[in-house]
Amino acid sequence: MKEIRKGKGTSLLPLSVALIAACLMLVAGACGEREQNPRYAAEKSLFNARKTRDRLLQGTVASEFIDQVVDNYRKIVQEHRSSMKQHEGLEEIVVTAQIELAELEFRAQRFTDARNDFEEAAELAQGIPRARANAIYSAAVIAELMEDTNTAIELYKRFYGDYLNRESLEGTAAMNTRYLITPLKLSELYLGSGSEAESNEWLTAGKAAYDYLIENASDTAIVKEMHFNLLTCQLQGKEWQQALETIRELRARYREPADRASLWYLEAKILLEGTNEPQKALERFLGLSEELPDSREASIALLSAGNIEFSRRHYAPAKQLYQRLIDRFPDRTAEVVEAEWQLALLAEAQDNWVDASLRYKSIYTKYSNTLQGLEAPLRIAENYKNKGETDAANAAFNQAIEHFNGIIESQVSQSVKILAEKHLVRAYTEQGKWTEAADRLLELPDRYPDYIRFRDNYLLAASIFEQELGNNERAAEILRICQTRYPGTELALEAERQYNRIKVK
Amino acid sequence: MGSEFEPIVPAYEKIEGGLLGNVRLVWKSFTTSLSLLENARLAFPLLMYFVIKLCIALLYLVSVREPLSSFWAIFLPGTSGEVVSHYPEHLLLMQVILRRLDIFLEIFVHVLFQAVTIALVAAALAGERKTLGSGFRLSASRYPHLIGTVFLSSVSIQVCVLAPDLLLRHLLGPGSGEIATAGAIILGLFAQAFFLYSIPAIIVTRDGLFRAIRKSFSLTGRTLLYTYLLVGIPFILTVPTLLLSFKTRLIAFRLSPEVLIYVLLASELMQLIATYLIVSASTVTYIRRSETEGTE
Repeated sequence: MKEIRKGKGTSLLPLSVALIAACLMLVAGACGEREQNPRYAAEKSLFNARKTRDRLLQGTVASEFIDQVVDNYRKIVQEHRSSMKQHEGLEEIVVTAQIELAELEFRAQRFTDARNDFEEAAELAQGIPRARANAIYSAAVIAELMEDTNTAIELYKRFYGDYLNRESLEGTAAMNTRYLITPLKLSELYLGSGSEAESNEWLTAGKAAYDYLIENASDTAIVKEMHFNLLTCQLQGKEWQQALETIRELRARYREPADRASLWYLEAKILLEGTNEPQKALERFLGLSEELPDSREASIALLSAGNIEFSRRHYAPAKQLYQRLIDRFPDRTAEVVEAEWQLALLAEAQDNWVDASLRYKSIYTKYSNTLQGLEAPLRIAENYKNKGETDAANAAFNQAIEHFNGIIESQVSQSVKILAEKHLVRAYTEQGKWTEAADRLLELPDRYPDYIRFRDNYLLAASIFEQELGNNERAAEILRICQTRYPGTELALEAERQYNRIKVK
Repeated sequence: MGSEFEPIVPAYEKIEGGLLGNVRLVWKSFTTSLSLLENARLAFPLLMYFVIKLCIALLYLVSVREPLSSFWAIFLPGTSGEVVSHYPEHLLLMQVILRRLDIFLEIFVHVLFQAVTIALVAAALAGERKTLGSGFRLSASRYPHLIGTVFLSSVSIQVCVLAPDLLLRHLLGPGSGEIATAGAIILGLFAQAFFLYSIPAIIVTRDGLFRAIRKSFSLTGRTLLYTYLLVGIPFILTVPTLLLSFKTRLIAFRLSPEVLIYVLLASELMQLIATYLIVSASTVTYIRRSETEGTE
């Protein structure tokens, strides 16, 4: 066996190692070059922000991290917004980050921030119509949810002006058919704020838009949606005969079970509330629940039929219909709890308080987070109060207060909490605990800053201090706080008026 | 320490005995291969190839703009250069794209560096001094045979890797994934084992393509367990990084897409070590066998 010679090759080793080390460093450093590409860098920041957001939404990180996630998104926008037009693809990333930020705030129920950030997104997305439409519409929906009617109207009008003119109608419908209900939303908001004339104007505008799309849209799904929107316009405008005519037309045109069920239900509803023909409506409701038992409307139809019989004091058939609903559709909680509530009312109407109170108790135990579940304990307490059974009434009110506090402290949605807070204040006032009621009212605007209606609590609390507790000084102080907190608003003006009135006294 | 004239390469030991005996012999071949690295020149060809691979990875990593990103998209039919240029897709697709490019590199480039290594190892075993240049010249002169054997072995390996999946899917349905993967690895290593000595035959004994393959099949047939272990044990080195490369999305979303760069580097490093062990140990085995009993 020959020996192996060790030649000059040994000196290549350090060279090789140095070469490889240099390459490894170059590869690792390659990330740095990529960061110099602003679009790529923004994509990386967006990816990381999304990763933290997803962890937050999946509950794998504590909810306190939401501010950090919000900051991550804000940094992307702040860092790149000034140069977003200069680099291809960067504008889309900045707008996406802004919209995702607003969506996150919405999910976290930070409605004011969410609305403001959607409006900001609309500003940023001037060059991306689809994103801009989404941003304006979302801001409007949030304003509506916050019951900030003026802002909602303003935003919906802006959306209508930019996206629902004749030229862009079909394109907007192709983006999202939901955008097309904007005129209906405006009509509803104006009606809610007492402007019937403007409400009707928007209905007319809606009809024109829907008629145009029915005539011109090439997509049959859009045409169908517009037919239904047109029907909604007629219903909202209380054009009952015209609506019935449209329903007949649509029933001939759309034979799908889901369409048949909703049209059938609408017809019965018009007969009941529009043309005032309860017998015909009853027949339609019963027919619907028998013919299309699997439809979403079948349970609601049974409930409506029961209500017709109840209003006519036909208690036995009414009871039978409510019970049928409970037995047939046990998983449709909203209808079942309403049927249970109606059965309790029915027992009360038949002077069977024992049965009624048992039903109320069952409702607030089984369905505590529903409107009926919140109403039930107050109903029991009020009954005792009306009968003059003071001790029993106090015990029932205290139990109701405990029930509402339990809900407020538990992990439920903000809307349920707000509802429970309202009922809690009602329990205090009905029990005559005015100080507790006023104090609670004053806590709520800070506890739920996004729920604008609680701002009126200052007026209510002042009124309690003035009228129920005879403490004008405290009432005036509260009104002053209100003026300072919400300067320049209608609320501040009203507070000032009340303040001046009290001071004159 | 042995004397200066004590051979580094141990005398030929007859390959027999059970699994443990064969593992021991394979281990000896590996230690011999590693001890040959005292002459650093032997590592240089594969290190050069490693550097080429790193440069390609580097080029990929900086290609976040057109038209370079469009070049990489060629390896992913149906994907545009634009998709490849986005984050994190750029890093998520890196392994797939570079692996597909590897198929071409394996056949046309890697084989050349393997052949140079074999030439240098053979020279070291013979106590001769061979320069890198002469190694490259020799390998270049055998290039068509080398391409031929790598092409045929690659096709055979691909068939062996795909066959179990197709067969088991047909017989057992789609739930047979893990069995199919195990089958693919076992059969793929078998195919690699049968072609293992063909490149040493082309370089060391200057055999033509088909004669080299015949010799390789014959030698593997006679030393099946040993040769199977010779390719199987280095393969184990690459398994961790191979498994990581199957979990790119998980790594990217749970850790960070940048971790994929380190996975790639680790994978290339493991490949380098495994390739040197296989190439060097197969050459040692081929030469010893040729010297003592012939290969036919």
